[in-house]
Amino acid sequence: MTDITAAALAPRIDLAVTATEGVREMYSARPVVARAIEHVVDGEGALAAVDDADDARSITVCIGVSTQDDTVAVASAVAAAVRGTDETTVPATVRVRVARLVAPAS
Amino acid sequence: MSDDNDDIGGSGYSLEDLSAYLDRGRVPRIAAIERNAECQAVLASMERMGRLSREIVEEQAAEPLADSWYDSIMREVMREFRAGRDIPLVRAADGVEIVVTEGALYELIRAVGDDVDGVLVGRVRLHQPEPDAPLDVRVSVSVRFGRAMTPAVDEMREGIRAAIERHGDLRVGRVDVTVGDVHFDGEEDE
Repeated sequence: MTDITAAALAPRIDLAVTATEGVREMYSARPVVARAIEHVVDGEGALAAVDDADDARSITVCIGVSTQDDTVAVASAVAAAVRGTDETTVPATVRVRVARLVAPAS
Repeated sequence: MSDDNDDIGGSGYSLEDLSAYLDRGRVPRIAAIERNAECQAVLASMERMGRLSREIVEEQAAEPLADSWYDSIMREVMREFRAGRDIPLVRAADGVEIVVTEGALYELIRAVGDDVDGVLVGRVRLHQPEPDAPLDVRVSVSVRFGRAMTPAVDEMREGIRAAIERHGDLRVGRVDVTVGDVHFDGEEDE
């Protein structure tokens, strides 16, 4: 149903997100179970969560932004960057989760 | 490694594990911790508390923060990051949704407290009566002995409101700041 599989897309998204200006950190957005499996096998999968279901793709990324930056502007840029990685015509929802507002080091 | 009850953010590691990890300089790197937002927030809180305690001891040659204070604050931090509700910042029509976690707002509020002279943040509570309603904030603080309480509380209240409202569509309703304790560190305001 898609040109790019979810597994192939996720690492691309990681690169695009971490390259977005204003993103201080990127965290795993994958479900707890997937993270637990990674932990057991001592592996490191992609941080982005890409889920294909019912001919629709949902993408979730989890980021940290500086308290000094415009969170919405950074998150919007992240969403645009995520969209840019997926050239398929499958409708996708993009959820950007700001999990930390990081104070600059004093 | 911890059992499930102590697990922070699904990482498989407990508060004690994170403390030990911090003590050994975060090496060897543990991906499950470094890639986990909740673990990173807890580590940042530990570093802040450790720095604060060291400053008090080194600069004022005074009693460090009591262990009970440290423990109670870390318990609060743990509880806050387990309350992981997502709060919408922006809902766009093109299938993009931007949300902020409650945990991020808790950390933001604590950062505001760090910048207010003579204030230590204890408990933080967020309450949103219904979706899209303004956020009510309740904070308990300890104020350094000799620090005038009213300006400290006002600074805290205004700082919280400004810090939250600069993010998207978030709006703040009530901000209640309760002084629940007074601490000593040997430095008094004029």
